[in-house]
Amino acid sequence: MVTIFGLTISEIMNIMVKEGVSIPLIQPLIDFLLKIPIIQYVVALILWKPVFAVLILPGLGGLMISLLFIIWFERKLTARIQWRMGPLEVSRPIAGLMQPMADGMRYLFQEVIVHRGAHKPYFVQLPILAFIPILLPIVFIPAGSIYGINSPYSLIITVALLALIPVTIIAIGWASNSKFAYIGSVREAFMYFAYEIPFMIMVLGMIIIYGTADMATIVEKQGIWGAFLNPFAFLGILITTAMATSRLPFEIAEADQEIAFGPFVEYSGILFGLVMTLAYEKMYIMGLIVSVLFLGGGGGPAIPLLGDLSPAIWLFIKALAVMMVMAFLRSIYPRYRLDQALRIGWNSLISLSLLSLVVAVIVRFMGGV
Amino acid sequence: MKDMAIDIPVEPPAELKSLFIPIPPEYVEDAYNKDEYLVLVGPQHPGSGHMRIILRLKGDIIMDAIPDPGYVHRSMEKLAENRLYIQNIPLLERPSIMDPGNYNLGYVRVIEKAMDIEVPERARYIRTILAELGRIGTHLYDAGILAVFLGHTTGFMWPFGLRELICESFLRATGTRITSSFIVPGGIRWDLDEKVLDFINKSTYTLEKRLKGFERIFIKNPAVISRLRDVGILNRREAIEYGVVGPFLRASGVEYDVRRVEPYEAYPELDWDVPIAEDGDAYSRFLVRVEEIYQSISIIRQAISDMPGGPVMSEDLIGRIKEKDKVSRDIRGYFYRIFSKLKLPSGEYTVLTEAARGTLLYSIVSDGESNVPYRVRIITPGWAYLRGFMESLKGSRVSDLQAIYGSFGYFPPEADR
Amino acid sequence: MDEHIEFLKSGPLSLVKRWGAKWSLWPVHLVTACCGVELAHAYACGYDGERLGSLNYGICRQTNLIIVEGAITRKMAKVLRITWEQMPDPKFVIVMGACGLNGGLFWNGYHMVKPSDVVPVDYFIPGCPPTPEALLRGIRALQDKIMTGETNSTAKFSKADLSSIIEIPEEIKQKRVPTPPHSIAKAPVIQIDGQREIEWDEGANLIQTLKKDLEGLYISIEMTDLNRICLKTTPEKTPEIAERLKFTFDHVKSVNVVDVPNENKFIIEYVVSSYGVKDLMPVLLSIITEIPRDNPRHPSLAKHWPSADYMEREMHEFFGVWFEDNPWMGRNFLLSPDTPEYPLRKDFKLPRETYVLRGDSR
Repeated sequence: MVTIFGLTISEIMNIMVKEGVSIPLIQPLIDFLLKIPIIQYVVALILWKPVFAVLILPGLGGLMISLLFIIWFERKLTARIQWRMGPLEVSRPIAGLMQPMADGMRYLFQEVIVHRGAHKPYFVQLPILAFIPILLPIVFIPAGSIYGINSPYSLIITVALLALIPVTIIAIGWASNSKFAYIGSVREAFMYFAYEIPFMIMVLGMIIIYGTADMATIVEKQGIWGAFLNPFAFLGILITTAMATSRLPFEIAEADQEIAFGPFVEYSGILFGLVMTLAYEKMYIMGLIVSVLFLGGGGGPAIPLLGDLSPAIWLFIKALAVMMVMAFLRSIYPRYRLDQALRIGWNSLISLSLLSLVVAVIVRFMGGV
Repeated sequence: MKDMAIDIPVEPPAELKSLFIPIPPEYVEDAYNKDEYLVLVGPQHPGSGHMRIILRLKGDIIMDAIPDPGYVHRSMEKLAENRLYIQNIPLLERPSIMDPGNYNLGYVRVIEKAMDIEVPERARYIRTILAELGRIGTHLYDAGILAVFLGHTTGFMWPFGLRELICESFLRATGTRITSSFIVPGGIRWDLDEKVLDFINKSTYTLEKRLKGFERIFIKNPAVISRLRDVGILNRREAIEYGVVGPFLRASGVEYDVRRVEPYEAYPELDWDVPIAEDGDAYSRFLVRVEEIYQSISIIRQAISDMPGGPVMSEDLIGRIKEKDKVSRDIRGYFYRIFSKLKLPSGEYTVLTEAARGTLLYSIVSDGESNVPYRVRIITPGWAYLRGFMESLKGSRVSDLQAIYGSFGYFPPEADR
Repeated sequence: MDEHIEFLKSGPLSLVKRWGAKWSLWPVHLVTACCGVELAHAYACGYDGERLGSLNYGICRQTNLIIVEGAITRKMAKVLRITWEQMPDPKFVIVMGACGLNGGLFWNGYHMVKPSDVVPVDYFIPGCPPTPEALLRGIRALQDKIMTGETNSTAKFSKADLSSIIEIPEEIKQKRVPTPPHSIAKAPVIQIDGQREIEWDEGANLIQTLKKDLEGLYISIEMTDLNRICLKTTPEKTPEIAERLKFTFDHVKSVNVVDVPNENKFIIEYVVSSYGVKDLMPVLLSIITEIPRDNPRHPSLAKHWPSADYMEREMHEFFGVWFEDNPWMGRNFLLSPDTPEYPLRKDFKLPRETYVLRGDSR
């Protein structure tokens, strides 16, 4: 008898099925699959809530879908504003939705050049290492009853892990050994401090309002959305999201016309595909956090047919909405200069975040939520 | 910072040798010893045109900028010495193909001046319209490039959409989108009919309406203003000293416009202003050109409404054809017979034209016997203000390079000829 | 079939590879000459190249297509090659414009190179410049090539045997190739400072003032045309003239050199004008000197007029005139190091046009 952690396989199966995601819409299919030998283990594992949270929604699957969608949406929206069509011919019936897919395929089969001056091991492994701080926060973000790890400090851990992403970008720039990459890395480092401190102050404000750093509790407590409880923090966090994910008014570290994609200048092939999507992936995580803190997380009218999946879908839609707002910025703003962006970060954003902290304390003393 | 500087002999980066950088190794060594570094921008760089700029940086500040032009030097001055006067018209319009009216006009006026050819009035008006259309087109082009250099893609697309109107006007009037070669010595190649003039007139109204939208999203955008204001300042004295031309000179407060100073074509008969700015920064350089678009629109409308009738080709030239050979009033029927034997009297002839980006100088030396020019000297506006452009970079930040580049509308094919 | 197409066609994932490459042809931002105007139009809102999945992108490492926009100079050819080598495989090249095809308007220029000598080309798009439609058609053709692996001309020519229809008369067949219409003087006489009688009172006054200010520094000051004054002097006196004139005539409009080999001299001409004084704005004053052709040295005036600096460098490269004190002498500024020396001198000859007789099959 094979045992894992003192449990037999059938006991593990029981746990997984009991804690599995229940979706009434496809329940007959799941029941059928659970009767087939071997496959039942796979299905049960995927549907087990912690694994489901990491792999499907809001985890890797959601990440991929949102990535493909938001790149298409951004190009399409920008094109519509600019009096043109945007990607179209690749798949006419669905308005060119396959375009990011085609670009991804092209990158995948393109040569990866590691140039002579690069620090080769880091140059190759850093784009992949950068996925760790991207994927780990997802474990802590609850979508209704679907979550990976439930912790009273989940919000703090998520924010701390997010703060690691710029470090990998700086390291990428260093490993590239190119002047534009160096300039880009230094800019990234400057920007990092300019947005990270106000961001943390504003998150602290929200923790004060809700009285907890547990995201599941925060979602439960939001009778009124956080955006209405503390609009200053909401506005501030939207701006920091734009800064943190290098959206256009603050696309300074990888300004392509100035320093030719900064830290990513030397990357090619699939490695460039990985580093280029870093900002979008970060934007997805930030979108999830904004939805949890301000937009009621997985809350929303429950859809009975989807069962446990319903809050996850709501969370996903809200995160996408935040990303779509960010995508809109591209077509109306030029980019700021580094010193101007830093001034915005250290003057306006810090003031805004302190104001939101005051509002948070007031809300707390008025009775909180 | 002196202590931080490297004291060991510095080996200049390998790329400086392999890329044929025209700067001496001592300069590189000096820069690296002073804790400064060199960055090569271009020619394959998203924020440079067909040229390389060598920046010497201290931190984020540009200490020195050395241009490396010539990537589009197509040897026009030499080629022009080997071709007939009439063959040079398409050749000498290539420096800046979005501005064909002014480039044709400049060259053709040299020949007319040398041979004392009187141009009929209708032809002068139509030439004015073509020149102003080219001016609008070029300013829109430069506005688009400035926008994309600042990362504002909508600001790139909208002017290029409006440029389609200009291209369509050229297409209907002359038969090609941009390289028209339409203006010939003595007049123009054929007359424009009412329908074409009406189209040009109507498109100016569309242009004006759409420009208002562009003004909202780009020109008056606070982020754009903060990027351009107080950046790359050339004051009046510097602008004069470095020989800056055209709208960039007027942005520094010098009221110099060849159309006013040495009037030609129909300009003295029309009513228009010369926009001037005092600041000399990137934003005023941009605003002066935006204002010039409105002035050009007004000039075009006036020229169309005041358009006189009559021939479009000079009788001096038409008269050389025997009566029985005259098939039509325009030049198409007997182009070769008139122009292939064209000879200028001996001497040097210099003519200034206000092209879109500034003063365009054509100087032809003729020996009086050949039917090709002996020497053609072309000073394009880009070549004239390159020095001013480089001087205005000093002391700015790295990100300002693109803002200043765009504000000058520097177009290397124009400068390199 | 080249190696890039071969790579795309091989292996079990060939379809996916070709599909990805077909719909993701990203041209690199390498603007090489004037056709870039129409390239910009092809990707702007009028024609929208992004419909085809083609997106203009910044750096060569991340792209897979070079659109060579027209004329390639010797200097740009190296850049083109370096860019092409830096791009990851599989990569493609489209050449736009008549200049890229076989030189076009600039076919006999001394600074020109054919792109097909530098990089392997997939498609040529003729035109001067080609319209945006033509460019997009070229991209379509390249997409077809990626899918099918074969290069197909998008233009169809029908061949007809003209000799059966048209009888070429015997006298035309025997006529020799016509001479070009150019008539070039064997021993040209160059007269730049030819005086002309013009009614221009201010000019006469101005000449009087100049004569007073520059006493002993000039050979002659004459009016050559309306608003044009020509001052003839000797090279060693020019710095002193510049020193006295630079406050009124504050900038240089042009520096010109005329090569007169049969008199063994260079004529150096500085055209100066004024921005600061309103009355002098239309006046162009040419300062003319003559220097021997075998020892062409001339004092640099860039110290007095900074606007003359780049033009002196240019003239040095074109004619080999050594402007003393200009720090850039002896170095390349505009031209590539491998260009023929002093190309604008009259003894450097360009290839001439050849005229062939229509219907002549020999």
